Amino acid sequence: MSNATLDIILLLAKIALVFFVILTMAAYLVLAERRILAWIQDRKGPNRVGPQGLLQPLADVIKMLTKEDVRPAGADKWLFYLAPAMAAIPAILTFAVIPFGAPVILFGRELPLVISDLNVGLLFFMALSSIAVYGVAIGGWASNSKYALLGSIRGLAQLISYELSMGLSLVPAVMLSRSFRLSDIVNAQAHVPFIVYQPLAFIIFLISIAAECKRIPFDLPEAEGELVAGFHTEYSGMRFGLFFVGEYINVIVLGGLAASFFLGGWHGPWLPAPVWFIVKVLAFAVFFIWMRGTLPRLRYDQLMHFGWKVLTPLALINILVTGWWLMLR
Amino acid sequence: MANTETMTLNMGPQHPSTHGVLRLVVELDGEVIQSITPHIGYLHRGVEKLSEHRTYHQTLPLTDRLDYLAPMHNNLGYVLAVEKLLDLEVPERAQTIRVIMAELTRIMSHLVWLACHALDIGAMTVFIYCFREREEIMNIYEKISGARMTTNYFRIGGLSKDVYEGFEADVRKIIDTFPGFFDQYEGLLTKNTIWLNRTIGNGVISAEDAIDYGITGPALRGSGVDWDLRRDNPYSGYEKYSFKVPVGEKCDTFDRYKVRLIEMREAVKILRQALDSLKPGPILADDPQVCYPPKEAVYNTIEGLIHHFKIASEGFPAPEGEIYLGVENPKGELGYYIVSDGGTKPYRMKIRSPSFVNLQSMEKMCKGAMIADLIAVIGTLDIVLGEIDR
Amino acid sequence: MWPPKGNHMGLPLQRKIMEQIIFYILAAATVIATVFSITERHAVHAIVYLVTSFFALAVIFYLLGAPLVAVFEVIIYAGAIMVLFMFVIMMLDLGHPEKVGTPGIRDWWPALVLAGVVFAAIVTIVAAATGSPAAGQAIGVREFALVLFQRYGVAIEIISMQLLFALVGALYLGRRQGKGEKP
Repeated sequence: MSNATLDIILLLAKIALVFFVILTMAAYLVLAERRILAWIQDRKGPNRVGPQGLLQPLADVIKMLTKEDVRPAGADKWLFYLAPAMAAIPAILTFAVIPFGAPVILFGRELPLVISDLNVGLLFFMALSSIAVYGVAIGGWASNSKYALLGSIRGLAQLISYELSMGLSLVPAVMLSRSFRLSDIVNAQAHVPFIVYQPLAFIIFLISIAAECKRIPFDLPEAEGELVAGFHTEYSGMRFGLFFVGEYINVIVLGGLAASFFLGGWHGPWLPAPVWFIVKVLAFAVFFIWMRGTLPRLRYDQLMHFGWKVLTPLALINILVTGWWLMLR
Repeated sequence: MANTETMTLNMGPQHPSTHGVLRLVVELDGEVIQSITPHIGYLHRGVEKLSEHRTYHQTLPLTDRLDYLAPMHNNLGYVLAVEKLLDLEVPERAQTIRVIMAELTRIMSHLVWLACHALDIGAMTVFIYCFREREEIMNIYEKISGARMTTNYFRIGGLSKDVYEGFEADVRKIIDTFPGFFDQYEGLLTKNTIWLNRTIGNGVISAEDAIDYGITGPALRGSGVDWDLRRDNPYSGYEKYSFKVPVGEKCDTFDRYKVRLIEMREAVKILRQALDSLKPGPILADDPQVCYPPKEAVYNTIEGLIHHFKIASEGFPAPEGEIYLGVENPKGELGYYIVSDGGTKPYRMKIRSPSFVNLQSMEKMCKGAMIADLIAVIGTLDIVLGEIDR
Repeated sequence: MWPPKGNHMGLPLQRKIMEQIIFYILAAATVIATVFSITERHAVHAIVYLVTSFFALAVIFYLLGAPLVAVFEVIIYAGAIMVLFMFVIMMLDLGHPEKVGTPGIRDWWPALVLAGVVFAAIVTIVAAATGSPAAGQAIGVREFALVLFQRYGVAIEIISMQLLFALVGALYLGRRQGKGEKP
């Protein structure tokens, strides 16, 4: 076996592993959300399928696959079928640049535990998150339903607004680590995670990613009390499932990014690196679930005001202050 | 121009937040509401017409189904109206038990209101918590009447039967535990900035407008009008209890929310006073013309059976005349207007349902607001379609 | 050279062939998607084609060793400008664009003139080219930023000021229209 072939096989194995782990985690995150929410709300949650409901994700997948795939009359057929994929794929792709462990030595070569360590990794993530808007927008528009249209307009406005504050809150992390490469950013936090230097940026980033993955105080695009189910009102079966799973993959990926940018990624004492990484990701996921159990929903105009008039100026000021601090240090 | 076109959105009758089968045709400019046209009647069962073909006793179960979240209170209004028509004196014990059940009903109805209102605005946990507590009251309902929703517990002249053993302990438990639960809800909502942002300044209606629209109940008091039938036109012995009537200032959704929460706390106070003053005694008026005989007599004596059969099949004649009586339902003034031609059935019965009247103020409250505000207003008006469509 | 870092992707020759295959696939995708986005009558479909084209173009930039340009292509063009287009299209009711007839020769001539100019420019460049263009050196973020903010720093500042003026102007115009009487 030549060197190149082995390289390609290792790379493919890595991709397959990451893919499998993320999809499984997303499926079990759904279950975890239901169980934790139930626990917060003093009820039981799904506990019938398998021990403690552990096979529930499997049952859900079977249910969604066997349901009728309804397309509303007058829907734009082509875009209606395309949109769920456009929502799920950018979320999965983003994980390509997240390092989830220290490089390991395998078959006498160094194998970095990241799929593709781009030198513009952070910008790659920004690019994909700006593309993720299309799934919401096109899905709602193509459904030929007014609720869905309103949901997708809300989604568009929300995602582009909060992307700005998200990007700006990451600038200090880049300034501190002097690189766009995620592995450099993580390695710069080997001793002190950036959350210590940049608590404000961390909070802005956390709020922005909650808005990016459309979690409860910011779940306006799908606000079930107002717009029935928002942009995915008309979807059924596995197409709905793709939107749904895409959202949970997004939670995992954005949690991974938050861990990499502010919590030192896979760095941590005692435990092996990938375990630390997963623990940090799950902490973010639990935080989001907890938030869902506690908070009501914002109104559309309040959401926009908060994004443009509070978060974005704060993030800009934070960048300035960080710049001064770096100059004076 | 394309950008000045409005969009017509048909909300309901199937919509998660229209609290039943309300249908709203909303004219939207972007997300801003231009006009709202409610379309009602999806739950029309003709209660008023049906009552013209039933005796006074047979009409009673129909009233459970008006505001199905506050069945006991609907019964109360009806039996009080008929008793006023007959000029019938109800024993004190029956009156006190009626007040206890009515106040439990008020708490239950307000719990469902808070649950749905919070869920509409996105606070899911409060929803589940409220239903958890509602279950306690439902259990009392079930023990006392055999049914959880359509209770049909009161009778013209008193009650269908006395309370079960352990009733007092059950109510005491509610008196002791519920204020803590109310604190829990307030902890989740009243101090929450998002909740405050969503409710303060939402659905404002001035006191004059509220009176002009005929709004009653907590919605009226939220607009600063100090009017409560329990205090201002007491019935069933409410004059004996001391309680505060909460009044809002800013006429918005938050004030209505506060008013209802304080009302629940006051209801607990009334419960305590009523329970303390509960004395043994008869539970049915001594008027064999009108009231059913006790069950032991029906099952064991031939006279009792004949008596029961006569009232059940024929009813009792009511004196000629017309009568109106309003009670302070959890949702507002529930009025029964009964016209009697001297027969055993009402000649005409008109029900003034609070939700129906309150609903018409919706457009006033929502014009120029956003869809999310409309949802909050539907919640704050606390409408029940069973009562609107009758 | 590509890939920018790391030496575990096989021999240079294999890599070159691979690169060329990918390039031609992407080039074809770009051209076809662009043609479709022009001929498509439905505005939202056209946007989707254009976004596809931008995406393929971004990967071509990456192959040429300009990762920064590649991601900016996606962030700015596909992620911001096209999203705003989409936003406007959704807000407006465009009726039935698919029922509009084919444009006549009179609508075509400006496009034809432009195409002629572009074609002439390409011919001139190809004729004037000497040998094969040098293979692009991968440009890192640091080099890119240095050139942008040191050599062209003043130009960048002027352009951003202009954009700011335009933004404020647009805001002002939009405000006045909103406050004025509604037709």
